[in-house]
Amino acid sequence: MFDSKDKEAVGGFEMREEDAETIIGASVKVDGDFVSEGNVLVQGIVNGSLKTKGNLRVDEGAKIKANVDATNAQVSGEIQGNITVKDSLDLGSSAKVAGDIITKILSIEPGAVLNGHCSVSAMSEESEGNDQPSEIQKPNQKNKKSVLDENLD
Amino acid sequence: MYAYFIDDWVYNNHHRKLDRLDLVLTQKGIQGRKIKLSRLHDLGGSIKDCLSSGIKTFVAVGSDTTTSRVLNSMLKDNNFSFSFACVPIDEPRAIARVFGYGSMLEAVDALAVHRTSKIDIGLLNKRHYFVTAAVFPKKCSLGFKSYSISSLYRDHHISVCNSNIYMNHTTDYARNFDITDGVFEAVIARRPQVSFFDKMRGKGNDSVYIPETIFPVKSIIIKSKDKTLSVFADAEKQLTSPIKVDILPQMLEVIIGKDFYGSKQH
Repeated sequence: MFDSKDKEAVGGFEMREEDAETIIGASVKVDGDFVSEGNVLVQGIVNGSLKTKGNLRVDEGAKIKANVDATNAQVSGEIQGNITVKDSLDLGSSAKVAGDIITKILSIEPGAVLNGHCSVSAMSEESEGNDQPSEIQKPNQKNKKSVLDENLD
Repeated sequence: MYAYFIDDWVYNNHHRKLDRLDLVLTQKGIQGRKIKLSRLHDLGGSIKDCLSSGIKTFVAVGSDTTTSRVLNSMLKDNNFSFSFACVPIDEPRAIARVFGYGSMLEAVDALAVHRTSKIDIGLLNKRHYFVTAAVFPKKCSLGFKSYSISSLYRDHHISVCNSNIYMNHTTDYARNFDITDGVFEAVIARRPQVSFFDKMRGKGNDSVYIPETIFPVKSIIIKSKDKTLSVFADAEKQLTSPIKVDILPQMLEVIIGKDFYGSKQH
């Protein structure tokens, strides 16, 4: 739907394979608390927790049973656990997420499965201290009626 | 001045090459002391002898096994500064390729130019030094401080690489293998699966290992159920499990050739 340039324009990100410093291959299982400083590419299985100061890419076929922490993330595999992403989270069409998501920018492709709560807050640095949620706007009753009338006509 | 440590088998099997080497060294004006390495040779004593004579450049002549033997003897008493090089006479010559020269004549050219760089060195169980990579048996698993890695398949290849030993397979990750960056790459490589019919036709039996999992590390513990492990680190070594692999950043000054790859060159 979007090419990479369009993705960058709407706030998404794309991690290429050669940008990855750590690669967890499809034939490998990682057990424990995995911590990294750079970009991580997951194609295999991770059990425990996964934290990186860089970007994360979870390819199709990868299975993560862990809480995930990253700066940016691009998910096409399965994640069972809470996801905390500092900037941008992309859920691809084959992504399956069972857990809560906290991020700044979220994009979900059609076909992605998400079971959990989502907290998306595009907060600027000035308003980061303000933890109060924004007021919920109720639909205007008058407008609702007029729309229904129009449909009936 | 130079000291040339020439392996025993070079005298026996490659005397023509040795004569040629002698001639080229004389032409370039980089002759030096020649020491024949027999099986029971006191290498430590010879090195001390050379140092007392003011020799500061040591050259191993032979294969990777010769280079590994000389290097390990030199680094055991590492309270002196020296430059190191090797002249490849026969296979395997992976260390020479890492230094940037694939043949005997290229090595001699590099010796004459004497351009040096400091490279990282690996250390196994605080005793055995290596340059290229340590390759472990298939039963092993990689252990880090807070997590461990195991392979889901049997046909894999575990190594802790200082340089790229998977040169025959050009990957996008080749840039990760830098011998001067102070970091190792723990690699699990896999052979591509071959169908039954291809096996019957004799195809794919000698297929190469492709690096699939790469972890940058400074220290790692290799665990195994077996007590003694046969590890190939430049040369074959028998070590007791668990094996601790450490990196000694910018430890060794080597004479480099034109094909040397390292981000930090001096």
